[in-house]
Amino acid sequence: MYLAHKRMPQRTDRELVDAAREGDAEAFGTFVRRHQKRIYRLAAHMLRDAAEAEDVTQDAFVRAYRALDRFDGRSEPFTWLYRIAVNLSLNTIRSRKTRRTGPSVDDPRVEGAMVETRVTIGNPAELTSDRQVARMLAEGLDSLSETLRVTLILVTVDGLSHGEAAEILGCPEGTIAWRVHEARKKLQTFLEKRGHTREAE
Amino acid sequence: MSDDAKLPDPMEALLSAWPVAHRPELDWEAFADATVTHAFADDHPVADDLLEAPPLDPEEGEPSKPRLAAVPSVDDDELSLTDIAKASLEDDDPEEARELAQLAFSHAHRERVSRPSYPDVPRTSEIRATPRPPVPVENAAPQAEVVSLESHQSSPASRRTGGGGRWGLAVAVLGIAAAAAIVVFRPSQGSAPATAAAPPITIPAETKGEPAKASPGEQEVAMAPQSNVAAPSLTVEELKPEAPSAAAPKLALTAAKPAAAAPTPPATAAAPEQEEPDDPRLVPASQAGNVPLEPSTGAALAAVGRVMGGAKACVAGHSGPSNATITFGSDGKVQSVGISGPAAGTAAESCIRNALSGARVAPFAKPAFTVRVPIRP
Repeated sequence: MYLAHKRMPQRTDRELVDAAREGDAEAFGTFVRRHQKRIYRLAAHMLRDAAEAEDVTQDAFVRAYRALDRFDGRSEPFTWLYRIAVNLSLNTIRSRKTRRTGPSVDDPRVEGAMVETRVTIGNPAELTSDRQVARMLAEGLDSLSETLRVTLILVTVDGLSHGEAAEILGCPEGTIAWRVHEARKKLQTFLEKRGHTREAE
Repeated sequence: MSDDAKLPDPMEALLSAWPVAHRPELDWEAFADATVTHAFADDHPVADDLLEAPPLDPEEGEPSKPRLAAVPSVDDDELSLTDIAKASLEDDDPEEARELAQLAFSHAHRERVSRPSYPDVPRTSEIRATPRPPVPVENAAPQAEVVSLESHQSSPASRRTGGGGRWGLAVAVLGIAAAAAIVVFRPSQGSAPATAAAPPITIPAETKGEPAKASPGEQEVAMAPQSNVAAPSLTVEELKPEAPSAAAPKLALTAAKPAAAAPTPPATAAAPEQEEPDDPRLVPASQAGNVPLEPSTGAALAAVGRVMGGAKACVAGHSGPSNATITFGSDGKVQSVGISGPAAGTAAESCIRNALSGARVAPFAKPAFTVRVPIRP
């Protein structure tokens, strides 16, 4: 089934969403396969919990499908999907009884980074160092406010443009640019206090 | 993003390419199938707030009103000059005013580049370079002093010579003093032309804003006869045609004759640039390589933005953004394009290089100017 999907000619998100709106499950499946990893990464960065991230990812697609008739087509389908995923992640965070203060032992962000690194490098000393880098950066991200963290993840980690992030978060592009810069400055300060400076490299 | 918020390299690398949590592809397949099944089975209504902008608290110090990007990006092309003008009226923040000015300059540059040429309409520089017809000095007025000052204020030639204006004023005052002395001490000469009596006043060649030269280059300048017509003119004549120096001809401004009704031959001198077109000091600024030191960042980004479509097509399907470092030469053409990120070392690299090489900015003085832009798939 997967190979059959790969051989199909590329359809745009809009075409897939239009077809899904007509009840085309295969088209919606293609839309899900195209975006599920990125939505999962976004949720994992926001929630720092693999199981919760999976739930949010699946829920985002289910809600998106159920609300397809309210998608007016003025924005790109994937920004609309991202907006739902961010809202679901925020709801999950706010419904938690206790606030998480730092990355857990099985933080999906650190584990994801380490699995990729292990495949490509394999040197134990370097692995330890890479784990420290990933862990330190994850802690730095956690030290940011929700607003700055979400914006930085969308723009820097996910590679969205300021315009796309502005559309998802419903604010001007200038605000996105300001937030990204502010988040990076705070991240830089956080890392410097822990001895990670550009000069120290 | 400015370099002042740059993180250590390993952190930057991880941040911009953070891997998705590893899991076998088949797991993702099963996950997708389960998601689709849930979606088609679920019939719960979706709350409106899930589709609205996420409820994030504004950050402390965050701009509270629509704000333009710190550096004009290619997206700013969509802003019209009207939008910029409206924003500037609403804005009293100096920092934002600076951004608006950058945008406005960027727009102005684009309009200048894309403006069609109208061969029938002369350009300002052409009008300036056109020699003016000699101004007849009949009905010469005795108010040489007044006319001289007007000349200083409005003569394009005097404006171009810069510091020479002050020398001209000094010469004019000295000339008046000399003429007055002649009138007072030699009344018997009646209506004799002052030019015949006024001793030439020698001033160094600095008159035109150059360092003083040795005596062969000195110029003799006397007061010129002035007309009462509107166009200001310091009439230039060669009083000493026998002077051998061709490089630094001895020029004289003949003093005005106090006689009112006596017809005076029309002045034969033309504008200095007509007499000495080879003198670089007198070449109009537009012809003397008057280019900006460097292009504005907005102009450079706008130029790159015009060819960005081709570059983006090269990275279609890539997982993350690549970066291009574009260096413009002083002729405004692209000198080099450096690529980093996922596209580096792939076929997309030369594709991007070809696409971005078409960018052009206006010529500038510095040897090179570099901008860095992300290329997102």
